[in-house]
Amino acid sequence: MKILILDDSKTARMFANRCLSIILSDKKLECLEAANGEEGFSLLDDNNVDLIVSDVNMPIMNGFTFLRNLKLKSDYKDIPLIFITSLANDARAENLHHLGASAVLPKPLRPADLQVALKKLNFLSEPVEQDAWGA
Amino acid sequence: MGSVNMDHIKEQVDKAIIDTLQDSAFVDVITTDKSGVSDNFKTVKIKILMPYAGSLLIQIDDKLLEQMIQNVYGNEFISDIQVGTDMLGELLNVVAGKIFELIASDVLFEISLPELIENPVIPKKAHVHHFVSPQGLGLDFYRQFDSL
Repeated sequence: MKILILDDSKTARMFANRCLSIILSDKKLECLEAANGEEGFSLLDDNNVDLIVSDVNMPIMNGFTFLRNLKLKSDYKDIPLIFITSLANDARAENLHHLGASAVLPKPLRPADLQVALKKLNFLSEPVEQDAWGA
Repeated sequence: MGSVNMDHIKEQVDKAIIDTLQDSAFVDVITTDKSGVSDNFKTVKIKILMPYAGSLLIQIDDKLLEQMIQNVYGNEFISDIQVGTDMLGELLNVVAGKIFELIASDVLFEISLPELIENPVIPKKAHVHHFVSPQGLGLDFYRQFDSL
């Protein structure tokens, strides 16, 4: 399974990567990382990505523009996208869902929230029982 | 535009910062009356762009930042300024989101990307929150909303 992680913060990408690796530990997982939407599209061109996990506020190409452009491309429009953003209130979530986001999760990313989102997208068969951080 | 609730803002912002540092950087801090930040510190700022103008700043003792880097990354990046700045920016990003959720959960806020400030000038009307770690290392948080 290939997941594209978009965030201008190396720290945020690392957190998302760790979270995904633990929750999807039963899958052969490859996480690709990009610092903005433009880099993200470069990676999409060279990889068959199953899921995109993205921040909203990024330089060069932000999450809004990335999603809009994603939905315009026939090769990519059906790839599910989960937004992980510090500005994830109801107003923002509604706005992003309207654009086509599959889920909008708040930062800091909680494994339980990500599990629910992945299960709804059928990437998980059963929820992980123990603390997803491995404790 | 939704309503803004500034009641008990200080206590709520204190909690947002304490919780964020615990959850994301695995450090415990408590509130304190005065700054514990030494002469060696880093400052990161986020501008609030919409619907209100303002800014949020974190000023952190270098040694506390190193501790946080070590907690999250291990020893590899402990002196890496870019990694430290990135982590601090991300923490400030999360804190900003929590504050906006507290004061106006039905409002669409827009913020700038975090930036490292070399010679910080603290806004005159900024409210300040002081924190200190068990090792006596300081962190100060400044918030300023122009029209609130």
